[in-house]
Amino acid sequence: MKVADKREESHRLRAQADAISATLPSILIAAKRIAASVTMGSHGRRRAGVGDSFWQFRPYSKDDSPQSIDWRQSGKVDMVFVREREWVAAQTAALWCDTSPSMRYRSSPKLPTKAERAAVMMLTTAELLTDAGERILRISGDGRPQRAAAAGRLAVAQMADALAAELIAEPRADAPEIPAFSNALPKHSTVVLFSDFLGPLDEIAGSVRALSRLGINGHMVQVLDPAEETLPFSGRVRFVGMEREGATVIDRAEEARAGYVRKLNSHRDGLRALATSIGWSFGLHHTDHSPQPALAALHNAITGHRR
Amino acid sequence: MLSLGFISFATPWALAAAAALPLVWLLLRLTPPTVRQINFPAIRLLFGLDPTKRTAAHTPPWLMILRVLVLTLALLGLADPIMNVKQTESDGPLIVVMDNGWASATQWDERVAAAREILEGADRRNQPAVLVTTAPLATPSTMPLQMMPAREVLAQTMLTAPQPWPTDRTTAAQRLKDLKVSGASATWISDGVDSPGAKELADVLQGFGRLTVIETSALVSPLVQLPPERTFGTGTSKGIGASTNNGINIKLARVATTTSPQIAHTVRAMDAEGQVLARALVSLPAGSGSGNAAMGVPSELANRIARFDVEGLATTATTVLADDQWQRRPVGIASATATGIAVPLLEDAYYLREALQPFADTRSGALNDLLSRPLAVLIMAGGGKILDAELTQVTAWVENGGLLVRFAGPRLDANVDTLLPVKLRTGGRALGSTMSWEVPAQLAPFPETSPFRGMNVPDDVTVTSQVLAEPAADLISKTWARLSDGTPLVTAQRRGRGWVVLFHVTATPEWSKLPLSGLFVDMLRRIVDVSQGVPADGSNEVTGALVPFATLDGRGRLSPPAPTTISIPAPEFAQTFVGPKTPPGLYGPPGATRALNLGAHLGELQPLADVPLSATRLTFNAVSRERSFKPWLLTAALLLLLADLVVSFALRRLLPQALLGKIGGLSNAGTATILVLMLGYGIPHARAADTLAPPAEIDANTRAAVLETRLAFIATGSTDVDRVATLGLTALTQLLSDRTAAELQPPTRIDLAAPALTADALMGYPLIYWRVLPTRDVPSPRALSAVNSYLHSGGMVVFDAPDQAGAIGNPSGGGARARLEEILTGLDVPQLTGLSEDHTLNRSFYLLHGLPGRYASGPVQVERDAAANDSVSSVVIGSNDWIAAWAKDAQGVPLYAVVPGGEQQREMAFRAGVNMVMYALTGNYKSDQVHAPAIMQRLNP
Repeated sequence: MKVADKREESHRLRAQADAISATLPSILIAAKRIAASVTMGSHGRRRAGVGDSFWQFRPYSKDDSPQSIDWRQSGKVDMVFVREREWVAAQTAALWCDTSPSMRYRSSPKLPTKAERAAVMMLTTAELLTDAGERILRISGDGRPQRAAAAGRLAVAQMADALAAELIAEPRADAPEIPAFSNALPKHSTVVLFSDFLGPLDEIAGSVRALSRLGINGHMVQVLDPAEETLPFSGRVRFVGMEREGATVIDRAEEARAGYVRKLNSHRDGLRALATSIGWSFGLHHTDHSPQPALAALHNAITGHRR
Repeated sequence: MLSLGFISFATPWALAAAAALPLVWLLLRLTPPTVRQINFPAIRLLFGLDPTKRTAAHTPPWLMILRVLVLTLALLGLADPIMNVKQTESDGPLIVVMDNGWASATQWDERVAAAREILEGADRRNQPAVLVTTAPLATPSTMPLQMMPAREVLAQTMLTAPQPWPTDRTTAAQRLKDLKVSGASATWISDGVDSPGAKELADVLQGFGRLTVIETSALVSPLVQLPPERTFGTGTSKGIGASTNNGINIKLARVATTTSPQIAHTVRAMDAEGQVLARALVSLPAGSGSGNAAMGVPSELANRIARFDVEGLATTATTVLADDQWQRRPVGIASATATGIAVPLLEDAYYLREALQPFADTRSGALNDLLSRPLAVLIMAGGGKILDAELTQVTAWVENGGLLVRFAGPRLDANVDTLLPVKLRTGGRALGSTMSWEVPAQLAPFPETSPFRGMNVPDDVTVTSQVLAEPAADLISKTWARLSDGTPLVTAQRRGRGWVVLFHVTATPEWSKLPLSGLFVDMLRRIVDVSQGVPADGSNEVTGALVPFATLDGRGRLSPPAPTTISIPAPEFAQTFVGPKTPPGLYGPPGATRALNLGAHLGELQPLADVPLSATRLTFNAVSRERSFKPWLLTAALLLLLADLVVSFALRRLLPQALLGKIGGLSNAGTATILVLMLGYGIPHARAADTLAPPAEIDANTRAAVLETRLAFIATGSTDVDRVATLGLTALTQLLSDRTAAELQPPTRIDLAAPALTADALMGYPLIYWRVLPTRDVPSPRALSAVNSYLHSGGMVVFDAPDQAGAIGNPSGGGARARLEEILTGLDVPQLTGLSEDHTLNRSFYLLHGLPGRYASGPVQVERDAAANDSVSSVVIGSNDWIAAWAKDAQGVPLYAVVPGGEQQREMAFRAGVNMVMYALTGNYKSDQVHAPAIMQRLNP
């Protein structure tokens, strides 16, 4: 039964992701349109760089390290040559979707939960990336990479299955607000994080900066319910946290609204400043809106970064 | 029972719970309102948000007061407080005697209320009770009286109704005598009218113990209407001039005491349908037991009266039914020629019937037949002798109140029989004849003693012949009308209770002009008024048993008789008294009913006198009312509780959510939904409005066709032909505006294959030109049905199917005609005929000989019997290729040469087009031109 549920959930999520990704230009098409240098995936980048394939020999200049001299070639002629390899941007994108209890919130039965929406957005991104030939990798809830990076639609399917399993499973209430991401992630990979980022700012900063220190470039997408944006409650309300944060009683919720919105904005400013400080992008999405605009922005951020 | 002044508590222990009120107050105070709980992810941001205002954790004071008030009211209500409890009531059995005869119908509701008051009190004290009603029943109860719980007696009381007959207190007293109780108290709810047995009843009741008598006050004492008397003209049946009232004498009676105030009531007379015909105000002076009034009613209306009653009093005693004998004054016309063939204008009966028709029922026939049924007036015209065999019968009838009117005639000269008012001289008198030097005599003013007095005497009534009376001493007093020379014209004599009246002229205009004048009608009316109607106790009436027809109930309502009502033998009817088996009402066969009225037999009303002095006598007003506050208090508590519920929901902001379930935060949608729920009845209407199709958008072509008149052609599918058609019709339109008043807009192309084509799209065009091409398929059935409905609704289609070789779009020639026939099989085209020389189409603007186009030879066919659509043929079928003849290029140069040729033919082709359009636009307006030669020929002979 569990397996059936999982499969069903997985299919549902993928169907939504397919539908959304169909409306967005694939990254390859975008790349063609922008510039040759944007061409991604395992294709050679037609320029010297980090890679395995030979690109060209060029005369040694004094900036080159001696280790880079190709002695066999240099021995044939009376010049010192440096062997250059073609830059292969075999990029790996690591995707993470927050499935903690607070992500299971929705203010109205008409809206999806934040976790559902984040999962759909993540799968859409995965779809777009694999279409473009990128390798994708899912970071599970505890911050570890799940499986090795893989490419192709099969990878997306596997990711959807795993994500569905995580969504169906009862969330662990004691899970940290944001996991300490494993440093086993491939270096120079791209990380996309989908979460509400409502935890303490310093915790988030710790996790993200750790990734940044690994040389990982990243994107943060904050997924929020409209009720979290506006606090549309009134009267005497007892608010209870969903991750054992505790509870608080507000006598007149309508009067606390202004203060709440102020605090939310300053929190978001902090997130944005954090992203800027390490060169990441920061996007915002509300569950009552269509995911396309946020995905388009994310798409621009990923492709733009390559440029 | 706990008493505090005028308020007592039936269940005082409930008040003990009031001790708990302070505790409730405390509890309410300490219980804070509950909080709504919401799971919220962004809780961290809410921590430390300073609540700007701390709402009270306690219930607001006004709400607490409300709640304590609810409890207090509920407690008070449960304690059952009662005002005006009778403290001195004994707890013994209670005997309630209710008069429910005719007199109790006044203030009946007060009587029942008083009985209810007493019995409810007895119920509270658990006293047994018994109810005795004094009006007898049609089938007297044989059950002995029995004490019952007061509640059951109360139910019994509610079912009691006033009866339309008098009470029988003797029997009631007898029944009470058999009741064995002790220590009882008695209450007699009396109608205040004395009757035999009243003293006996009072004594019996006094024997049980304390007696209270509750009476109607003198102000509203029972009222009785005596059967009205009808007065006629100048006299009643008792004698000429006895009364000057022209109408009906109304009499009301009541129980007279010295304290009776002056009252006035309106008596109204109604017909069988309940329409009020007349009203009269009857005043009863203070201290007096009766009052009279005259009701002025024209006799036509008086005959329709079915019922008299007193306005505002629904009682039997004030209701008098008028029976058929009241209403009808049947007049019998015995004519010598009754069995012969009636000859209008020559027959006596004709003039009499015409004169009597407006106000009386007339019957014609032989004497025997007429007298076999009730009759008020018998008119014998023709002056015949009454046969000896019939004389006795007629004499008896007159003696009994009948009114016999005789007219003179050639055969009535000597003393034919005894039924004449005066002795007649042998031989008549002729005035103004050729042998006489006297002029025709006129009428003298009517004598003061005559029923005709006061009527105008017209000048044109002249008498040429009459029979003369022997002079006698009493002739003057017997004369009702005389001529200007003093000879009597109408004489009358009293016979027993009836009259014998003689007109000294005939009922035909033979002897006088009287039957021709309006005076005759008025005189007959007065005479009929003098008659006393069908006697109520005469011998000439329905014999045998009078079956009940309809009876009055205690409230004066007429209804079908109860099964217990018995028939009354006719001879005994006058002596029959109203009782349970003979309630007041109408008896007898329909059309000859007789009324049994309560008021006729009541006699003088006496106040109730024989009550023991020791008894308490009260009027209804003096009975103090016990009032229970329990229902009021509990209702108020419940209402306040509901208010509290609403307030509580409002305070917790649960009003939308309570009804909607958990839709967190979407209070706007919630409110909207609630409004929709509250206005639920409005939803079906809203839906009904939704299902109405929005008005269809009119497409641009149809709009253009409707707003401006224009010609149209059916697209052929061939670009060349369509271009020629456009050019040809444009040229024709141009020519029309140049030469005629028809200023049309540029022509339109209609595509029959268009998917949106409907009949409406064609309706706007007066004329549609259809060029048939053999290469073109027959249009779809849908398109053909659109064309059909266009043709049916007055449209006109010009079919043009040139078969000539070289015709545009059809260079090889042939086939077009065949294709046209195929098209026409799908259309509802009537029978066709060739265009005749004098067809309107040849006359509608130009006078033409045929309709040439590019070709002149082709035949033109039109509808044969165009009758519908203003006689305009719905189709014009030709093969002359008109558009080719009309078509011109931008420079005005014709595109095609006409065959056989000449610009003369082109001009004729244009004229043919003009005629077609004018024919379509003006219909048969010009068809007169067809007949113009004939018209001109008639004008110039």
